[in-house]
Amino acid sequence: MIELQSLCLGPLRDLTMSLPQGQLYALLGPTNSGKSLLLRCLAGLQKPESGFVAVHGRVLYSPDSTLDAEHRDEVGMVFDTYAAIPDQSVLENVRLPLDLRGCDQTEGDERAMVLLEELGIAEAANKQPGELSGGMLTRMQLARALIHNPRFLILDGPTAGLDPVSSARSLQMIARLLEQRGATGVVTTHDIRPALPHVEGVILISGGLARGPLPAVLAGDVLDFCEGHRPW
Amino acid sequence: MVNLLNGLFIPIRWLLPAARLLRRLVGVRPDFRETIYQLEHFGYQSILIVIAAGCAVGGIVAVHAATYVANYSAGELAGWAVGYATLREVGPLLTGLLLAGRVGAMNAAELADMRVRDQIRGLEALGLDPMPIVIAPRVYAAAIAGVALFSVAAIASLVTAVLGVTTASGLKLMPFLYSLHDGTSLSYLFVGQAKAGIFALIVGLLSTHEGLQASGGSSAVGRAVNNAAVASAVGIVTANFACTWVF
Amino acid sequence: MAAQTKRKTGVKPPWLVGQGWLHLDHLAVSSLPLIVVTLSLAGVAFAREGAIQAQMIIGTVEVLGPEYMRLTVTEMGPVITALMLTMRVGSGIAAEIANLTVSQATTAYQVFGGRAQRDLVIPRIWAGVVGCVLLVPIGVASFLLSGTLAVALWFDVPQEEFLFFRHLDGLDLMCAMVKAVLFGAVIPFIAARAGLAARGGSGAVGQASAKAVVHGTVAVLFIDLLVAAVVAMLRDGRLG
Repeated sequence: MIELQSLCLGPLRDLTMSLPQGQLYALLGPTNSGKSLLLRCLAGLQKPESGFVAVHGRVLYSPDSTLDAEHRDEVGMVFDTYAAIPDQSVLENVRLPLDLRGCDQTEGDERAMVLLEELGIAEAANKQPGELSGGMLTRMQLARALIHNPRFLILDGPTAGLDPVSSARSLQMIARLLEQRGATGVVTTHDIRPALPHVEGVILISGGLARGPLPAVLAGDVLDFCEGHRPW
Repeated sequence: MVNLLNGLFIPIRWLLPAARLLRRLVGVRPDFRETIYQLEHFGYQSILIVIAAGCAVGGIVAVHAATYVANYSAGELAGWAVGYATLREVGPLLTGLLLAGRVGAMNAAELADMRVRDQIRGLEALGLDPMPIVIAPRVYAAAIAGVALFSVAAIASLVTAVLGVTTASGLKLMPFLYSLHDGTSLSYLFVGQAKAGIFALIVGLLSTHEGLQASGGSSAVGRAVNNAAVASAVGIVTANFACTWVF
Repeated sequence: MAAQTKRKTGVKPPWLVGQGWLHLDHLAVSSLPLIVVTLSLAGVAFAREGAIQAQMIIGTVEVLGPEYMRLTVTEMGPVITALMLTMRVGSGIAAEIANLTVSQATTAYQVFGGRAQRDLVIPRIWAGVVGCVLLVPIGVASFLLSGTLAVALWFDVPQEEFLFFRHLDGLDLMCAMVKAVLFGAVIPFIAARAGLAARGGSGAVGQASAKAVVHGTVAVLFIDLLVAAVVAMLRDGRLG
């Protein structure tokens, strides 16, 4: 269970919600509504001004917490810009979280290969990130984000640059992986349509306030909100 | 060893593209407004940093001149040493290297960014020649700004050096100023300005050339800036070497 | 649910030292031809100009030797070497790190438990210090030898009358080495900080590179002034 309690951060005021584990949630809101800020806070890159974020009852981020590496054991993240280290191979990129935790390189390679095979890009293990397509880079990022078994996955625009069919496939794969691992995920996307069938709920942010998670079955209302037909 | 032998060709490798670009620019009339804009961008916005660097150079000259006064009781030569170093020798070289960074790197960064974002190709697609509206104004503005900024640096260096020498060595200000006046020939100023102009033109040409060569993404922009900075520095040192025979 | 992978405490990342060697290769070994060629050209220009002025003002070139030697070792050699390294290495480091920053690779590194500020900056700083300490004597030697050759060729001054090693003292050598260490530390530090501060796209990479060169150049000049002033005061006996 991921809990946000009275979180205040930038334009966001008094965010309170609970996200059960093993589910994927979509985060929606207009530009400058505070989505990226919220994601940075959830990733442990920025402290909230007040309130806290707790994972399985353990307070992870609060105004008094130190944002050290220990806190980030709970978190994995996928970026819209792929965030690959260019002069390292795909295998080395995927292994990064384990290297940073002092794990044995052989064990790290094995675990990375298992994930790459699961995601269908094992043949790209020794290639450089620059040689991969957008979809393959997204899968590489997923492998990297999951290799240290985090309980919380943040996906900042993972389908950016992908066509609608590839977007839908990626989101379906992400939802399946989270369910298998019992991890909770929050995804931001510019086009909610491919995401709606695969997310458990939707979090709407606008004017500093958040509503949700709303059930994804309220797809019509969500689309109206996104297209500006329905006020907040 | 092979690298060292290749290194001997460094000056030629960097200066040939500058010469080629200069040849293309002959007869091209730069857009006036764009040239003024670039002058403000390269020149006016660099004034503070040039003053700071000029003061540092002046201070360094003062430290060494004060040492000579103390070691050789050569107070009458201190004025010559300050004038010679700041106006003719050390000043133009160090100011030129600063401009290689400030003007050269900045120019290459902007042009490389325009190149990787296809903005230059966009101009060509609209039927516009980028030479008079983008390239030539930058080269001319860099050269003019270099000469003007050297004057600023020279004044800052001289003032700092004079204050530094008189404070550190105990020489009186007026006698020192007379010795500076007597020991410094006007040719030092002209030679310094000429060197600054040549260095600035080299910086403008090389940085423009390197910026326009960029292709790829953001890493290409970084490479262009790196190449421009190195090329400009090598060009300046080589030109400084050649100037010893000309001036 | 699979068990989380916790970090092992007390394990020092080996790549800080290992990566430093890679940076040293790029910084020192690859910069060697540039340093030798540019310092040689600068040495000839400086010696020739100095000799012409000495002939005009004092009437002889031989007196130039001791001061040419001292200025080369304490001033021109370290400073011009450092400025060349700022152009080549400083802008390169800033571009490389800025690329990682704008593509969010540094953010990813931090999210996964790394410390980008430490792991990207420190190996480069120690490589910079070691590299500069190795390159400055080579730069000084290139400047000195080329200048001596120039004066011998054009002014008929024998080398042994020009290369006055006995006029150098411990303070001069200390001045050169202190400058080498400080330049070697500050150039990659400023460049890495400029790279980490990059925000935006490809334009930000270029701006970071340019900033690294400008700030690095100004920092080199001010460090040079500071060290020269301290050494002059030490020599004067005003300090210590």
